[in-house]
Amino acid sequence: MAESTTLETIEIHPITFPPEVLARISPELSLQRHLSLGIRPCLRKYEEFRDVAIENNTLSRYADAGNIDTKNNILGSNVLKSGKTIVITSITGGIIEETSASIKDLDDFGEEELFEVTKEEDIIANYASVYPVVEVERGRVGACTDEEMTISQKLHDSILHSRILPKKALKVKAGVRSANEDGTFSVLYPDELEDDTLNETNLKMKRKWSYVLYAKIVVLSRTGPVFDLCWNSLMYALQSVKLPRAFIDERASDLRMTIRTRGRSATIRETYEIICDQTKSVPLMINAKNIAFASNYGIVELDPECQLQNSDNSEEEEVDIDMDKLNTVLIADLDTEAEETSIHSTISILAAPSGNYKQLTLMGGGAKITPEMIKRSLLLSRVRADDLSTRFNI
Amino acid sequence: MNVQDRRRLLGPGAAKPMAFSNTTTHVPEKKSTDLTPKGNESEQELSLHTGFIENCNGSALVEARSLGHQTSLISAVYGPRSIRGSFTSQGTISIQLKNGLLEKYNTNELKEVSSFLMGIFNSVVNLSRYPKSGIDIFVYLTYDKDLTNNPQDDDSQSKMTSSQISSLIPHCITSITLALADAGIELVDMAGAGEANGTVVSFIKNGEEIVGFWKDDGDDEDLLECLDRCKEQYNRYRDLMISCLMNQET
Repeated sequence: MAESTTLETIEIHPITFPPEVLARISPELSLQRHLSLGIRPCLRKYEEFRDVAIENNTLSRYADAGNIDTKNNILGSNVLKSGKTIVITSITGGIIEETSASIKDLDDFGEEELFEVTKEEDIIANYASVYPVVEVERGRVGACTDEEMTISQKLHDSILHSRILPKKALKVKAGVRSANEDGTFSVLYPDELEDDTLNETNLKMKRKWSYVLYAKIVVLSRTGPVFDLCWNSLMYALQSVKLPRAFIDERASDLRMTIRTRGRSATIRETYEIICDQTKSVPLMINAKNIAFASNYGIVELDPECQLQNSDNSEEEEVDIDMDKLNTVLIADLDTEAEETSIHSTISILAAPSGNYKQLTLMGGGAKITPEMIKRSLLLSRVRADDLSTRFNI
Repeated sequence: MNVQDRRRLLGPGAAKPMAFSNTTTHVPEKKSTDLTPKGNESEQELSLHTGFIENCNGSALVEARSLGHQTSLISAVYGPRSIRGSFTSQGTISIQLKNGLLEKYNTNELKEVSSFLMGIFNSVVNLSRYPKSGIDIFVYLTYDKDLTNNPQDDDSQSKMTSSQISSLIPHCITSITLALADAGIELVDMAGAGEANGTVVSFIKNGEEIVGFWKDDGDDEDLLECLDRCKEQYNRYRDLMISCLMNQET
């Protein structure tokens, strides 16, 4: 008897969770429940993108055209807010001296073959990239995470292969600083002079420099995949970049000394630094037609067992469900933990506004990617790119 | 740093950072009008926001703008989260300060400030309520610049930065306090601070108790006068913090 009474007292209550708890415990179920209602966990529709708010060039040294911030070394910047996520991109620069050891100058016969190989890649060799360092703030210290590393690398490679940044645009057209008779300095830039007294041949310098661009991308409040946001922010920032003019001192422009010690002779070249002009700058000439914007899509199968049904006609619907025929949907602009963890089939696209696609990445994981899905996502990404490209105005 | 970091794309090693010329003939012409009165704290505008970062427990943004200076910093509180290892009867706090876009302060300076802040918040957070847990606080100095644009020689510039970091500390304290409150972490009282001539005094309990004292450069000004000025600022900041938190509730 005692046993039966204890058995009677056991009651099993169905456990209910508030939506946000369910989303943590079972992201998959939470996602399916939402999708069955025609919305996503972030309450967007299937093909709805997050709105993007941007602020360009407010952090750079050239932010205020009349008043250059001399202690600031940021050349271009962008703050992008999409949903809850904030991406801050700042572009800084460096200068590297070009070594003349180009592959074409080599006499070695063995290099011929290598030259043939590289010839095919010559077009790409005309383009440069930026060196991005992505930091996703997530309350940890220490080494960078895999995500940060892969995003940085992908940004770097994608910019190179999108042919956005021609190497020519990064060449330093160096000026020469000379001391005037009264002790003041003036800087002459060969391309700015109109008279021929000091034209380029006069100031011809043997050494060449080019700018190197670094991007620091900080992601605050990460809620989902962030490659797209980083890429778009970087695109906006790159368009706002201004390169400072640089010059060298005339006394150092071509100084060589031959010295002889103990019968050996050597040439000493004076080492001198190239200095950037405090005020003068030129806009970075990027390939504007190759500027592309990123968007991503996920493909998910609707699980009929997770459907939320109306209590009135639940029995009728039960009959309709065909287990063999799974319904797949395309979801644009993935966000939230639920979508990130349970959608494994993704499409990532870089599209230029003119309908010029730069990159397409397909990841098949679970749900089947159909050609219709790919077509649809290509179309959407183009619309998205058109929209995003209109946001840029200085 | 001699060791090459292979995990990040840092660009070609031979590249040198841009060095901007100190003396060009063009700059000095148009700066004579920018003679703003120094240390005009009363004209400082402060704006506070909380809870805008999603992936942490509490966050706060403090933006301060006075005539000569503009600062914006973000604090994010992660925790209380469990720590590894053996049981501890009290929670532990760690504070990390991070240079923002303008890499202005060196790591030593930031470490010094963060250990100072840690001292303050160890006595302000009710740590005995959080056994075997850690509270990690990240302060991100997004933006910090002078609006008055006068090119300086290196000597005065280094002097400027040292006085600037002390002027940042009160804002750090304000934002950390707000972020902790946003995270729902129990505090003994709202901590705040004021700064006067490179001296920072941090108070709780309506200015009756001092929880932190920072002093740069040995100017032998009257300490009590500094204390009064700091207290004045503390009261102002505290009122702002309270009104910010109250507004957020509604």
